This record gives sequence, structure tokens and C-alpha cells, in this order.
Amino acid sequence: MKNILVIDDHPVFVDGITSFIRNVLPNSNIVTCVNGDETLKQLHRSIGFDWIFLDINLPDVSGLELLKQFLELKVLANVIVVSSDENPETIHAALELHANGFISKQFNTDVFKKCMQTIERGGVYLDKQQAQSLKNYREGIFIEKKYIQENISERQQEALLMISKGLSNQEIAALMNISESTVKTHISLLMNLFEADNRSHCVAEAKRLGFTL
Amino acid sequence: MADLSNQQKVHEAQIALLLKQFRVTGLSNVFILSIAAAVIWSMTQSLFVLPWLIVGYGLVALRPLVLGLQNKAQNKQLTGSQLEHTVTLLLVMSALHWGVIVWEYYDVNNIELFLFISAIYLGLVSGSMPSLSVRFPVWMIYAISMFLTLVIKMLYLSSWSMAMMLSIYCTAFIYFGRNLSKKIEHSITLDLKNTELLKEVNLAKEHAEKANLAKSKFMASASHDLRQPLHVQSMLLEVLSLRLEDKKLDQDELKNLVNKITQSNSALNKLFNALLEISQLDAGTLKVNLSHQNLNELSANLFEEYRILAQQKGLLFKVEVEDCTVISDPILLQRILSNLLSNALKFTEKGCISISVKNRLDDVEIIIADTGIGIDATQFERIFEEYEQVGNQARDRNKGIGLGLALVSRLCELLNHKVDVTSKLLKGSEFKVTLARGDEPKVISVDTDINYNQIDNTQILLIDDEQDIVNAMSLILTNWGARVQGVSSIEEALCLIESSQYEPDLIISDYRLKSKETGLEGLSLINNRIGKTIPSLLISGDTDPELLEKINKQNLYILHKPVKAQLLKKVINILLKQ
Repeated sequence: MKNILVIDDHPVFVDGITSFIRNVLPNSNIVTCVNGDETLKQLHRSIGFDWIFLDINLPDVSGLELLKQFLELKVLANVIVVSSDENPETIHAALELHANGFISKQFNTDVFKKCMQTIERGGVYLDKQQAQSLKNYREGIFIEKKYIQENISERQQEALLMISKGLSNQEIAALMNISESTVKTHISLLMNLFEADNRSHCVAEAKRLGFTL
Repeated sequence: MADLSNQQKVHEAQIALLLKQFRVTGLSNVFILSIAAAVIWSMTQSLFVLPWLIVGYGLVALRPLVLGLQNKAQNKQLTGSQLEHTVTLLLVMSALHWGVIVWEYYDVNNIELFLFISAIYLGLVSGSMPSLSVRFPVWMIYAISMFLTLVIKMLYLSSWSMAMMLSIYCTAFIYFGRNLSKKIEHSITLDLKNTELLKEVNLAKEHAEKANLAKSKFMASASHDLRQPLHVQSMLLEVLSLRLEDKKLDQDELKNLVNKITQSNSALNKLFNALLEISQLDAGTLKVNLSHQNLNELSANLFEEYRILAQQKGLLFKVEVEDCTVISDPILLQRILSNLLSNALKFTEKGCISISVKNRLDDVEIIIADTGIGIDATQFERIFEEYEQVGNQARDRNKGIGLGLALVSRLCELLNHKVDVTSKLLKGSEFKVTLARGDEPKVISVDTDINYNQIDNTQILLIDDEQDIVNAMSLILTNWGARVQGVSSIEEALCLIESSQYEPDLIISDYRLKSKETGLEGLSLINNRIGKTIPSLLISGDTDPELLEKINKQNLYILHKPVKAQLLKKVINILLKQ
């Protein structure tokens, strides 16, 4: 018997996916949650799920936030993101958070089965279009990252690391043994490089592009 | 630049107004000339006024000639300033003509005549101010030449004070004239601006009305097309539920009903997707990622897909593709091509569909041709509009919904591609998409494997007291690219670390090892020895909740026997990434 968690706030959709699951995995125990809060409460009671079907657009928190929580709580279930949001950035972020597959809300039984099989064989499931747009997106990231890597200095990298730790200009200046105005110059160059509006945006961009901070 | 052309427009308007005023003042000039001549004759009985009057009439008669020039100007492109010069010349001539009277009869000794001529002069100059100061320089030259004759005469008569007075008058007149001229210019500018704004408003209004009409038409067509499959679905569902009540449903009928519902459902789906895309384009939310792409890789799958569909319809499918690199968004380009291909397929009953991709000097040409029903040349423009389906008045749903080409044209616009159509009714159509050529070396191929595998080349230390398990696990892990060291006890692991400076990237340990040691204890020993915390996971056959809680508190992953390979892989990847 499989334990399955369905997280979605649309009752009609929950009904639909539940019947799909019953069809593919008869005798499964299906728990449903309608928002992030309920999900976390459920997971604190038990993390012993085999499959989780997660809607990325929940009323209270984003599905990506929940994916982080799954890792935090060491949930071992396979997570399939079910969403009408086909934005490659979302897909990329979800995969980085170890989601196992994506199906759009217009799926059919075949897709459903294929997705679960692919995941059980150790793969990640995306449909053709999603895979293509993800590839595109990663190309974009690749180019940006390469450009930044070619243009960032060692000192700037150090500064970036310190910003990400939330250090102030003063602290950074002391640690790097340079003046505060030099720190400011480094930081403004960093913000230019990452096309960011402020420090936290800069750090977020660096993370998005896959810099280890 | 805009300012300059604006100035030019103001200038033109001024000249037009000047000419109009010039025409009007002609009549009054005849009147004044006659009166002046009559009065002077009655005062002096001099016959000289007669030829003078005739010359005056002649000068006035010259004016329509100038106006004739203006009419010609509209054909012959006579410039405004040329007209202006002619008008000025005529005015100066008229001033000199009056000057003759001044020269002959202006005399302070004949008070009556002196006052009369002075009055006429003041009347003429002040009267011309509102009408002619539209173009200030023209009027100024006229006014100065009028006063100049008076001044010269006064100087000639050595009447210095009068000459002085007249000069001051002239200056004052010119000053007022200048002010008036500025006011007139200002009002002309405002007028022009108003007209322009009104034109813009009208244009915008027309545009908005047109767009609104298009939207309404679009909505009407869309709702019709949406309702149709929906209606079919409701009917079929009703039949289905009736049959279920009667319990008279045989398998074939059920299959048939479900098939039909699926069909109309997928029609609805397609329609919604197309509508969504159009609205994304309208809202400008469709993201474009232009990059250098190899067209062959991109289109191979697509062409293969349509080859099969064409064969099913009994059509020939010709593909002639050169090796090309283009600058485009691969997803959107695929959408463009698949829309064109599905159109070709839809409207072709026999013959062939052909695709050719050719390199040209600076661009790449993709031509999709068919031998289908074709399009009338007069309709070429319309076919790219939303919801336009030429020759499908009944809106046969099987022929689609008329959004395909609208999408193609708008996507092409977005991507900077050009799309052209040539077609002959009943002979076939040819759609040509022209794309900018890309650089082959700039094509980036990122590892397209979406399965992140960070296991490659990692050092994994495996601790299990059963040799069989060590062997089996090693096999799996090596298969994923890991380099595995298997040991059967903590002691052995510590020995290995000590003897060869071994430092694993990851440790996998059984929870219950021989001689009552636990993996948990072992891990902390190893971490101590190495001097840092190595990512680790435990494997256990126990399901004791207390134990699980204990491990959880240590912030460790625990997997239960039998471990599924897929899960193991996932957890290893998570750990390696942290």
C-alpha cells in the first residue's frame, strides 16, 4: 500500500487527481491538503509518504517554499509538481530543490503513468515542451554565469560571499582589510554585474545563476 | 527637427494669411487712391494727379497677378518666400507711388493739404498693421518705406523737427507692429497645434474603435467556437448518464461515446491554448529568448511528426533541408513551423507538402508549400488576422478556428522573422519564413540531461557488515559513476582513513553493525577523525519509532531496507548538493 499526499487548493482538481491515482495505484492511502500550513502540520505528524503531488500555486505559500521544507524535514517521497505554471524558471528552481517530475494540469492517464514510471526508474519527468524550454533557460543561465565568471574579480567574489552572509560594509572592510569606500565600489560593481537593484537581489541572482554562496 | 518643421508650418500659414489680407486690401486701396486724387485735384487743380491715379490703379491691378502666382505655386512649387518677396516688392512700389504725392504736394505751408496727406499716411500705415503684420518683415519694409518718403521730403524742406517727429512715429509704429505680429504668430502656432492634436485624437479614436471591433468580432467567433464543443459534450454526457440509468450500455457504445467526448474535449483544449497564446501576445507577457540555434536539430522531430501525419492522409512529404544556424527562440519557432505545417496538412487533400530550408547570403529561408485549396491573392492580407478563415463562412470546426496564421504572423513579428505568402486558388500555397542567420560556433549545447547526476566521480565510503550487501550496493553506486570503498566495520573504516589519508565525499552506513556498534556512533567517530562532518546517510531494517526519532534529531537521512535504488540516488544527490 502506498501513502500518497495531494496538495492542491482546487477541490475539483483534487477529485480528478485522486481518481487518477486510484486508477494507477489501487489500494493507496491518499491524504489531501489544501494549503502549505496544512501540509506542514501533516508532515510533522508523519513524513512517511511515497508520492507527493504538489500544486506550485498555493494560496498561502509557494510550492517552491514547500519543496525546501520537504528537504528540511527529510521527506523521502517522490515529488511530482502538478501545475499550469510552465515557466522554465519555476521548473528549474523546482528541479534544483529535487522535485522528481512535472506534469501540467491537462495531463491524461498515459502521461500520469509515464511520469511515475520514469521517476521510479530514477529519471526526472518533463514533457517535451517543458524540457525544451528548460534547456533554453539553462542556456541563458549558462551564458550569464560564464559572462560573470569572466568578469568578476577575486576580491568581488569574496565581497559577494560576505554580503550573502549579511555582513555590513564596515564588517566587510575590516575582514578584507580595505577601506569602506572600496567595499562600496566592489559592491556597486557586483550589482552592475548581476544587474541587481540591491544587495539581497544581488545575492538572489547569484544563487539563481548557481554561484555557491 | 520637429520644431523646425513646426516653424515652417507656421511660416506657411503666415504667408497664406498675408496673401489673403493683401487681396482684401486691394479694394480699399482703389477707394483711398480715388478719394486722395479727388481731394488733391480739388485743392490744387493739378492735372498731374490723373496719371498718378492711373498708375495707382495699375499697381492695384497687379495684385491679382500675384495671387495668380499663389495659385500656380500650388502646382509649380513656387516657394512661400518667393511669394513673400513679390508681395514686398509690390508694397514698396505702392509706397513709392504714394511718395510721388508726398514729393509733389507735401508742404507745411499748405496746412490743409499737409494735414490731409498726413492723415492718409497714418491711415494707410496703421490700417496695414493688423492686416499685413502677419509677416512682420514685409509690413516693416512697407511702413519704413512709407515713412521714409515723408522724412526725406521734410529733410529736403529742412524741416528738421518734423523729420525727427516722423522718425519717432515710425519707430513707435514698428514697435507696436512687432508686438501685434508676435501675438498673431502665437495664435497661429496654437491653432496649428490644436489641429494637429485633433488629428492625433481622431487617429487614436479610430484605432481604438477598430481594435474594439476586432475584439468583439473575435469574441463572437471565439464564443461560438467554444460553445460548439461544449454543447456537444453536454449532449454526449447526457446520453451517457441516461444509458447508465437504463443499464443498457454495451462496451462498444460506451467506447464510442467516450471517444466523441474526448474529441470535443481536445478541440476545446486546443482552442483555449490558442486563445491563451493570443492573449499572452496581446498582453506582451510572452517571453522571448533569442539565441543561436541549429535549425536541423530543432526541426527534425517536428518534421518527422508531420511526415507521419501526412502519410496517414496519403500525401507526399518532401523535405529538403540544408545545415543552417539561425537566431531565434526555439520554442516559438517550433510553434510557428508547426502551425504552418498543420495548416498545410489541413487544407491539402491530395498531392504533396514540401519543406525546404535554404541558406542565403545573410538569412535563412524556410519554405512550407502545399498543393491544397490555395488562397485568393486579394485575401493575402486578411489571412494573418485573427479569426479570419477565408472561404469558411460556415465555420467548419474541423478546419480549425482561424487562429493559426494570426499566431504565426504575430510570433514572427515578435522574433523579427519575416513571413510571406504566395498562393494560387486551387493550386496550392507557399509560406516563406525568413530568419536572420546565426553563427555556428555560438550554438551552445548545455548538458540537456535533466537528471542531475552529481554522483559522478564522488568517493563513497560504504559500511555494512554483510559482504553481499556491500557487493550489491557497490555495483549500483559504481554504475552511477561513484568510486566506492566498501568496509565491514567502523574499525576497518577508521583504519582506511588513517592509513591512506582517505577522505570520502559521502558515507553510507548500515545502522546496526556487528559487535553492537551502530552506524550513528561510527559516523561521529569517523567525522572526528577526519575533522569535519561528511554528508552521510544511514540504512536500517528497523522501524522502531524511537530510533527513527533519534536519527532524525541527528539531522541524518535514514533509508529503510529494502532500499529502492531510485530513492538512494535521490538522497545521495540531495546530500552531495548541500
